[in-house]
Amino acid sequence: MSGLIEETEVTVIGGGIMGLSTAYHLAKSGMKVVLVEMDKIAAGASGSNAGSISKGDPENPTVAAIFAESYKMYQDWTQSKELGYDFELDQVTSLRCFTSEHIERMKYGVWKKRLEVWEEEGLSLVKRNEWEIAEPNVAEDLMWGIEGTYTMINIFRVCRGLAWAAKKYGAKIFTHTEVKDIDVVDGKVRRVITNRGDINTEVVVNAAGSWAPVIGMMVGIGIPILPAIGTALVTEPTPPITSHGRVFYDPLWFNPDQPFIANNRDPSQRLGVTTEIDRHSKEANYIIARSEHIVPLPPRGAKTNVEAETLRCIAESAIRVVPKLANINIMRAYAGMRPVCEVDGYPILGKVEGIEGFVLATGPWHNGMSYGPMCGKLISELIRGEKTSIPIEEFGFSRFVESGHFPYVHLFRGN
Amino acid sequence: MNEKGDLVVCRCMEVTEKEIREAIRLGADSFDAVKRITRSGMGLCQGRTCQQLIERLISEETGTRPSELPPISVRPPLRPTKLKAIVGMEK
Repeated sequence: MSGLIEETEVTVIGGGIMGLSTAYHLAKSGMKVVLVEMDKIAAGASGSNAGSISKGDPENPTVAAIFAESYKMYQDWTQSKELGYDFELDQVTSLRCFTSEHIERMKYGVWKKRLEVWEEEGLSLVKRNEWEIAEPNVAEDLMWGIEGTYTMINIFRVCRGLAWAAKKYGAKIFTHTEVKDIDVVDGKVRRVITNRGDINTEVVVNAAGSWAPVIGMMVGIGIPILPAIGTALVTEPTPPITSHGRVFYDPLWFNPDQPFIANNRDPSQRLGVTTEIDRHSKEANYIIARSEHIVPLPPRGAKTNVEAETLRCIAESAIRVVPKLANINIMRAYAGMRPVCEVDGYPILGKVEGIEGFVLATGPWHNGMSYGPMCGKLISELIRGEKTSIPIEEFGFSRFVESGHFPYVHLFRGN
Repeated sequence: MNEKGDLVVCRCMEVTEKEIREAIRLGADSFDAVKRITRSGMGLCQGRTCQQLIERLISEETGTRPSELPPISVRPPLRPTKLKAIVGMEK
């Protein structure tokens, strides 16, 4: 490898929302930070999602607290223009649709609990005749709906804004820089070796998303993260067919035993299977998505492919929910690899016992935009040796050790 | 008109020369990077009309020759395709 290029306190690997936010918070607190990204800013999952953020999580109070803090941060950044860019924070209306059969099945299981949480938030099931005037083009057998709101951001502007702000506080960002190896000496990280030279560092933050396991291998740990590919179709501009910003439909909704992850590579049996039909008023078009399925990890730097079968699945479910979409043209499709922890679906945050200076900040699955801002702050607090403002021990790497998942080497099992 | 920079370069998304030059000055150094900030090339033509114009602007601003700029990412469908046609599409 060529000569040394940098001398720093912290090296962040990954230019997605988790890495950028961590670099931003560290730099702001006065630490010396270098961020390396193998492609460009927001090239992976952070640049290929719907741009909606959650304000809470009905299942886990810690996650709910993190989401709430991230949301506050987005609001603060908008007001203070901290990120340089206006990232178009916006409130949008939504409608979740159900068939009568779904309603029957929702009387028990995990969905019963979700429904109760929503009821507490004032989101209740409403019969079709009450929203049909606004949404006449939704398929006729969808007899029930929950109306709500959610928040949208421009993901590229958030990520580039974080990069800009991190640099403003002194962070150095190297794109198109691929980490080749990490030197660990006496159980402590010393050096990050990249294709452009070496970085001497005291701390390494692994925020490499779906590629986090590759980085983990360099220090000898197996990180149980799999790439879940999420694909979306972009339509041509068209007069509105729906009036809510987002129309949801989840055909697996009625399954009370729906596992958090179906480790299945068949696109028709994907995890989640939520169909989202998003109306983008600014572009006057639709973005249509269905949740992810697990795919083999593509080579580093490769473009994420859009599979024909996935396109078909998404088009089919869009027409199933809003039949009039059948005659609308698709201009383009995009896909991203969302890093999902295959053990429990929660992110992996914090230090790794036995490797001093190696910190994990990854695995937010399809909630990266909701986790990112606050997780970056929590990780920066952790690195500075402070008490984190929200306890994150439950998301530590040690949970896999306790559950017998360590060492968990799953990576090179191929297709 | 050109001097003020309000010449429309990407006509699908109505992005002006000024907006594109600003994005390049903020660090967008490829067609894809400019697209991610300004939405140029995200319209119906998917950059067929404006790609070369934008690459020329990048070249002017950064000094990189257009031939040395990274290729744009191309994904299906290559032409606007109706949803119902995609459903009928074979694997």
